[in-house]
Amino acid sequence: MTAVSEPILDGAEIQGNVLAGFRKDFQSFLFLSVPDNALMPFKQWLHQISSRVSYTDSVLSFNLAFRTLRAQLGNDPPLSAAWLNIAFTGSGVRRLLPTASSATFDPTFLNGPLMDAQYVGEPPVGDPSGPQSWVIGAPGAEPDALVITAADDQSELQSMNRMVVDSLRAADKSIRILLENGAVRIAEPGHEHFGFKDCISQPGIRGTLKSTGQFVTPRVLDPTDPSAALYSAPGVPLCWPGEFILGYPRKRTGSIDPNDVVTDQVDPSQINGSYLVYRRLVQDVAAFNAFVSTTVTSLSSKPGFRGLTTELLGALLVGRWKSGAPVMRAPTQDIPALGADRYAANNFQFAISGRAPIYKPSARLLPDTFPLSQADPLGNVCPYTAHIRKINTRDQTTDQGASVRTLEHRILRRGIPFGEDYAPNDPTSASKPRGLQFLCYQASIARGFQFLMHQWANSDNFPLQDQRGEDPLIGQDAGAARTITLLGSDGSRETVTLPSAFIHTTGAAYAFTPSRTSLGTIFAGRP
Amino acid sequence: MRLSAPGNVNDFETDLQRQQWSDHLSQEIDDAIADIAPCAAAPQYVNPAKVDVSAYGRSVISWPGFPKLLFGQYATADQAYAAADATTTFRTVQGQRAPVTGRGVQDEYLEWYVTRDAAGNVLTIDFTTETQEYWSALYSFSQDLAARRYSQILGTNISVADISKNARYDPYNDFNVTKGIIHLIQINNTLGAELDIAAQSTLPRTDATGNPITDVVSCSHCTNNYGLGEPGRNSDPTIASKVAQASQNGCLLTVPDPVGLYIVRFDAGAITGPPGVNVGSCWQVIRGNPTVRARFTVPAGHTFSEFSVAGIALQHPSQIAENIFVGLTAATGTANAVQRPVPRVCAAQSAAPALALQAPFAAFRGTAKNRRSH
Repeated sequence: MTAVSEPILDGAEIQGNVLAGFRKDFQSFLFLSVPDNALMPFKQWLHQISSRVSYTDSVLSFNLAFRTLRAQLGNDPPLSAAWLNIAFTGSGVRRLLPTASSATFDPTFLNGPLMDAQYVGEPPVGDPSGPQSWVIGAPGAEPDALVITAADDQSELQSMNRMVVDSLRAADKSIRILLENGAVRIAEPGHEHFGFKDCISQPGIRGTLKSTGQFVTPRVLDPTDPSAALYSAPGVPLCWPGEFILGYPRKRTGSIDPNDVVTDQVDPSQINGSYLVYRRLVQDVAAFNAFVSTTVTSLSSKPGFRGLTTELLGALLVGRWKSGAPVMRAPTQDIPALGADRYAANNFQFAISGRAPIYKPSARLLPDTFPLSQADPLGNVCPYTAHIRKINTRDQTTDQGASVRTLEHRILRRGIPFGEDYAPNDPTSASKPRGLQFLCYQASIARGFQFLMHQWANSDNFPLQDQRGEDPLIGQDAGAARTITLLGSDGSRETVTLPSAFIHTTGAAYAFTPSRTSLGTIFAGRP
Repeated sequence: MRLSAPGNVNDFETDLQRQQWSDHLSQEIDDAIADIAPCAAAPQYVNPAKVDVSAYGRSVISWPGFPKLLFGQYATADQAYAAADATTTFRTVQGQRAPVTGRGVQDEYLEWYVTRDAAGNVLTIDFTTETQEYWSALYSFSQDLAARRYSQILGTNISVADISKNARYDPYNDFNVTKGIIHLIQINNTLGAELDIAAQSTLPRTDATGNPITDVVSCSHCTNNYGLGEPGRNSDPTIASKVAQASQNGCLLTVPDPVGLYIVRFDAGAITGPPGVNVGSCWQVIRGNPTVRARFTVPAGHTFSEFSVAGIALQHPSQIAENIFVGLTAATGTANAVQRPVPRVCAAQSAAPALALQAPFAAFRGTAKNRRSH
């Protein structure tokens, strides 16, 4: 294996939501459409707003301080901050940058989400439920830019949004603004609307910050732990920053040496930038619950599925119980304390058995004493179709070859729910929009989001060519019904049909998140 | 049972030929099993010619057909696609001639031939997974029969002389390289290699700390220090790992009849055609059930670049290969059928020889040449 030299990341240049994540309970997404006549004022506004944009150094140090204090106090500390990031769609890049520069951007990004909608499984453009129904990014209505604001409370967020809107209005009243909001669910913070704890597993990021010398992703494994060289924490592999940020080393495509890296040559305007995928995902909670309930009724009478409960079936669809506890470590019943332990909840593999990690003493973590996972190469414990197994294959060999190859297809997820909680006793509740403002960052949309959707989530033949089924949560087949095959305890196989989707895309954008320098110069028209 | 021809193709004309092929393939499988016997008192890999595997469960192991190694060797995807489509050239190593460019780098058990019009526009792309072993065998059974099957598949009159060199079968004859394609010629695209990886991967392995592992493609063979395959490919590590995973429960395992490598899926949904063109209708299975030969045809009145993937126009025929899945079937019996041997530490492989060339049919048995080189 190649020796590791940790890359140094410029946290003063990389926008804060990319690597650090805002981690705020309240967030807004302001989609901007800039008419031709407003381009110059908009560039001036960009120059003006660039000083309000939040970068990695600030966001990461806040997150660290918050986490440290929370650990000491036992509850949320009285710290708050409001953050702002800005990104540009392909339309925005083409209209703001000189052609010679805009043409150097990734073609998948420039094409935008309408062009690969079919590829990622959306209903056809002409279908009433397809992209023409999107509230963001429908044909002919693609935005130019996206402003993301985030705060710890609603009033702070509104103040930030008011500042953005007022300054835009002052720049040019013809700039159109579409507002989308997200908020952590009050009833179940950290859980999405189906009730499952979300965003548990994220890749670790190799490298240290230029400003402080600290690791971007804290390392909690003791050097004596066999995984310490390649993992920041149990089940959290270290990815090279070039998987997410342009201008940094990434693992060489196809290499099975995790530290065999290559740095792509990109236009200077893209260095320290990242591609953002936005998806407004509406979740049909009533349909999901009904499916789980009826499937339990039909399956639980079969010998191989005796004892199946709605909680267990839900866990088999996701790969985790609602608490976040992984099925691999809690195969028959939930272990809420396991779900609450952010490190233990990630400490498992699929192909081989798990083991207890050796934590650094300085990490001050309780030992992982929860039941260990057992090798499950054939999907008897955690189904092949389970959402977390489809998208994060861990140690499994995939159709791409050795498991280390999956490091090329990791994304940084930054989703937040939107809409009211589903109230089953309220007949009007089911039709109200609720779901997830899904965001993810990557250095290549083709290697990241697009690949994960097309090649894995939507494939009923992944990871084995045996039609075990699509990802029951996010898998889609152009509006067609889907199936999954579950294995019973007696080795029997039961195939059940799912609705075409429990989650519908109702808006989409591909955006580029530039560096501080690029935002303040080339995007603001001041090269 | 008598083993069938790959894809159940009906090339043979006599029972003797059918039996010869079955015997030949059976011996190849026995050789692969013999190579794990020193490391396993009860080998988990079985010969479907000798063991009834009809009740075994079936799983298809598949991988994309574009040679992934190229993505790591070239700075851009465009360069990698172009390299895969380059003209096939040869060089001589250790006294044997072998393809080194074009078909020489199509190493995922899928190779293709592009037919263009006078202006260079792509008309058709023919894909095959048929192995050289099979065609060498066919030739050895009846040279005339081999020539007639060449003629039937390519639709032109091809003589024995056309496919022979120095009175032996010439796998690099014009009709398998410059004027068409019949079977695989990339030096590692062999049936023997497939069987070797599958059989060797049934042996349990651990990492240096004693933890069981299933990513075994880089582990050494039972009886030599060479790795099982090239870890940078799609195919080798996928076969090795899936077999290693499946065999963990002590089941008996094999590649069942018809033993072979197949085109298991064309992902037509990934490709957008010109308006009015159904991409699925551009794909035609030419030979085999399961498929061993298929054709992608650009409809009359259209050009290849009118097709796109994820909104990006296709420029290279090899981009079709990226949306073809190649694979094999694994058959597994019930758990705990055999006592597994004590796991071996997955030793780092030693450097491989410069090139391991495929020997002609008469001498193609044996692990040394079956091993995938690097």
